[in-house]
Amino acid sequence: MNMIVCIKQVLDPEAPLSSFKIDPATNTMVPVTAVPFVISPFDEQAVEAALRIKDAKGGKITIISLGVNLLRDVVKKPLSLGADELILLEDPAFIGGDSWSTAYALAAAIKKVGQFDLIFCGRQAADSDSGQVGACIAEILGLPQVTVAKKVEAVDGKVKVDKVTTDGYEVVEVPTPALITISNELGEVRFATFKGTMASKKKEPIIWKPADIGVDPAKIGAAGRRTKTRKLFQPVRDSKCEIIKGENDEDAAANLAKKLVEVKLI
Amino acid sequence: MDFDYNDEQKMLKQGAREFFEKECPKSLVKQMMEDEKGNPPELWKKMAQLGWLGLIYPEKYGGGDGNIIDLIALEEEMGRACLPGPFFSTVLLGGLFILHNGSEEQKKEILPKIASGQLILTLALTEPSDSYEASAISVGAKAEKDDYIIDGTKLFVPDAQIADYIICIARTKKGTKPEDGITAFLVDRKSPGITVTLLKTLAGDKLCEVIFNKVKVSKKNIIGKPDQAWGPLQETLQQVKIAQCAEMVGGAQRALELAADHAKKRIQFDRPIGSFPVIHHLIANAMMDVDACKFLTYEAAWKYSEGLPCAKEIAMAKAWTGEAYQRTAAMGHQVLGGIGYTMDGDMHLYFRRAKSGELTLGDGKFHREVLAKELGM
Amino acid sequence: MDFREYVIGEIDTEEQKKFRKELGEWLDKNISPELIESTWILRTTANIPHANDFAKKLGEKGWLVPEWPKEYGGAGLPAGYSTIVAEEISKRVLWAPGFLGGLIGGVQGPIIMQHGTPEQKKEWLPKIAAGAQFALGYTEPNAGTDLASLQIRAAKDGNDYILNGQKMFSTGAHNARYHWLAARTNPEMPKHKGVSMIIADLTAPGVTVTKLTTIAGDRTNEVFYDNVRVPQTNRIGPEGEGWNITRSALAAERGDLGTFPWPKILVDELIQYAKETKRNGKPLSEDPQIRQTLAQLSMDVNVLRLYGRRLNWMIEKNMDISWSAPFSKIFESELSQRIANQGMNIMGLYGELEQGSKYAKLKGHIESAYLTMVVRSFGGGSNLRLRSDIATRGMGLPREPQLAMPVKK
Repeated sequence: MNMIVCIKQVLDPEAPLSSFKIDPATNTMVPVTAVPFVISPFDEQAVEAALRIKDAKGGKITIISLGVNLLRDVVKKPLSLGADELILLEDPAFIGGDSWSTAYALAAAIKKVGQFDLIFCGRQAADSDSGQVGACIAEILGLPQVTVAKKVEAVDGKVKVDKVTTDGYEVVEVPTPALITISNELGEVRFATFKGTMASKKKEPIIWKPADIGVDPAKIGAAGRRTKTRKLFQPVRDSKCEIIKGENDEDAAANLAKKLVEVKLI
Repeated sequence: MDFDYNDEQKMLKQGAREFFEKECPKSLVKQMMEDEKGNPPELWKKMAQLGWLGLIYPEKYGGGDGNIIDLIALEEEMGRACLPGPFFSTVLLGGLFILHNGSEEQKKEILPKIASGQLILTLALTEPSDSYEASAISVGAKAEKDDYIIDGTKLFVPDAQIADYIICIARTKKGTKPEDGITAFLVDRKSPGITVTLLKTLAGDKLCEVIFNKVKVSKKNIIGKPDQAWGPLQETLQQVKIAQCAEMVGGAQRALELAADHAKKRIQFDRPIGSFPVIHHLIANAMMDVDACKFLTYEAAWKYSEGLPCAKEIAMAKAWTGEAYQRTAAMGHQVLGGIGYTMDGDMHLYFRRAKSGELTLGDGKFHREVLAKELGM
Repeated sequence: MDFREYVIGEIDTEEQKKFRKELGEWLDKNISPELIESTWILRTTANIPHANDFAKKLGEKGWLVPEWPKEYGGAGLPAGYSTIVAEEISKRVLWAPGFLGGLIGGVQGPIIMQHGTPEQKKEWLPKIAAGAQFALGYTEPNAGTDLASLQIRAAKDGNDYILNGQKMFSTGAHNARYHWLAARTNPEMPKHKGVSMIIADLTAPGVTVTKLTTIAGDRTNEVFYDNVRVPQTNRIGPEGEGWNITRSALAAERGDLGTFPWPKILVDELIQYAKETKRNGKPLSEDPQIRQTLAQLSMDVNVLRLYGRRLNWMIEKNMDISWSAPFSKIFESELSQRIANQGMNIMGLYGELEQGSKYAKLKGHIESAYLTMVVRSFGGGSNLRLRSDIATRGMGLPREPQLAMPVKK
């Protein structure tokens, strides 16, 4: 199976909130102290989904990442896990976009890659959380898409996907080529072996500029935005805490139950 | 000059950090301090599967062909995680000694099993005399036809209680110098006459008394040349010390971060205690201290990897790192105050390991003396 | 990871090799033994006799600031040549960066280059390139570490400023022609704003320079300004922007941050001394405590070297050095004091003898260091303050909150 996985380099979403502040002039999050870069966690799971299919059926995995200042020790990680090739859309013209202009560039790169059976994306990026790039890519390329997947299996030229729903999951069959977005329910991602890590040294990333993938400059990055961020802010959370008391644990529990009925929660 | 790891080493280091965060939580570390074996089998197996146990060994012995700088990238993370288990004794002390001095047969027999996680090995060097000098080796090995009879007591032997083999450094001859007449024997732990008693230690590391009561060992089990083991042993220890320093660097760095994190969060007198200049000073001093031992260790490792003379560099790294790690963890306790003083806290893990690391294979005083000799004094 | 030491000259182009040879030959002819010896006493450059003569000769060749354009008095050479000048001088005198920095007199050159008007550049840069002496005028009796509370007033009067106030510890002001002043032009603005950089003529009427002698026998000065008139065209950069332009210029002018040769030289001298000197029939170098002390000092010297190399690496990689640059300054100053203190103990009573005294050993270097090194932990930034900078900028610790109540004067 020829697979493509799109990954995004983001500031570590696990960093404490105090590490960031909002720049009101540009409506962006700016790190205050040194925050490390990582691959967006859902994208790591997208890589894992592709690796599982490669383990089972063999094939080739191509990783594509769009951004600037892409740290090699971050974006090469999928190579150390077993991906075969890394393509970087590394150019200022590509960035500052919204889901649509980003997807447009990624789709153009995918077209240039050529033959593929599956495209994997994380369900949403850990910084912007829009959750639309995958869907937009599928739309541009005219592919069927299954979103929020927790399991993907290649079966007789088709793909069987367990798709997460609010109260469980449904099993979807889709012909290839198709695009799947992966959710965290996929499970644990693997760790790289020492040999795998060292072998990634030989796989030099391929760098593509806008001219290489034949995109219209007006449609990529900041230039190609169809949405405008009006305001970015941290909502103020105010919480009141009422301790429910009682003579003992059972009594307190009974009082809590009464209270919950009172406020019509149960 | 380049003070950082390359991309692949950074990936290895970051991957190791994430692995240990998941597989080696502090709760496990604390549990292992009380555990007699001290080596969680699942963790050891996973490390083997990732190729970390054989990282430093050549591929033909089942290893990963890694170099010492790859190794110290991993060691820093092991120190940060306070990794329990016999990596030091098996992979470094015992394994590296066999790699550098063993026969082809011994290497083929032992090293792949270490790499695959199937064999635990240690090296019995120190004795009740508590000294790293050659003159302290008194456990004797007397030749008897095709065998040797080893008799005497080794003390502070790491992980002997779970080892499959013990490399015993014994005196086979009285030479003109104390360094002469010392031989290394690969002894099956199950040999009749061996008694292993686990000691209770500060850092929960598994140090043992190993009594050799007329233990018979075939002369085929000599590692390297008979009567000439001391020099090669010291050579091996140079590499082991670099790795050990890197482990301590990782621990010191983490202790510093814990202290700084606490200082930012802890509110007293209506402000974070980290806003008091006195705390600034404690943290700044520790930052300088940790960077010093980091760079001394890095430079020693780089020179070693280039085959350049590095006796001075290793002495400096070992002297500084042990003392800096101890200073940093002690500072950490001062900053954390009461909350760091119960067993629930983590700082004491670093505090304990800093001390045992400082004392193992020679402390600051020992290595300053080594440096003084290197400076021609 | 790579710890290979850069070998001076190894990346020279053919042009640079020729320049280095020509420069080296000129330096051998023009740096006198007296000059070399006087830098050994670790005096501030301004107080080294003949230093300014040397600066003027170097300036005549355009080599004081070789990378400046020829129209400003430089040699118009490309990047890398000022490093070659610094390297060749450091082969011959004790501390080239400090020496050279002292010759040029500070940061006013780059500041004028970056923020001066075309007229100001034409007026001042050639003077600086020719070796005109400037003294630094920042510190005041009430403004040391808290430099922002400086009070010297520059009040507008027609096309001039009238200067009133006082500067303290202005080293070299007795020899210099010009004073590079941080003065308050806008007292209505907050402390940090409202300060401008002004060039004053130290020979102007109303200027009084009073000698202060340091404990190391060095000269520094108080400078009093009593209604001194200075043209407003002597103000460099916009009014009230003094701090910003100083900071930006310091950022541009890295030089050879973090390398100090005398700790290694002094420790090597002490080791040699210990080997050669006997006490109670045995060389000092056999005393276990002295062995430990000298080994530790030797390690410290190596750590200082590594801090400096790491700083250069960070600069090359355009990393933020605001938190790591102070490592070198703090460590060197305290190490130098340790070397002097422990060195004196190793030398015993001989350690007390000054250079020139009968029986003095090591040319009195250790005795001299004992006094000259004292200033290094507060001169150029107090180590006490710098440690806070390290912790807050490097590890994100919160700054100390400002006191709500002002101190009663």
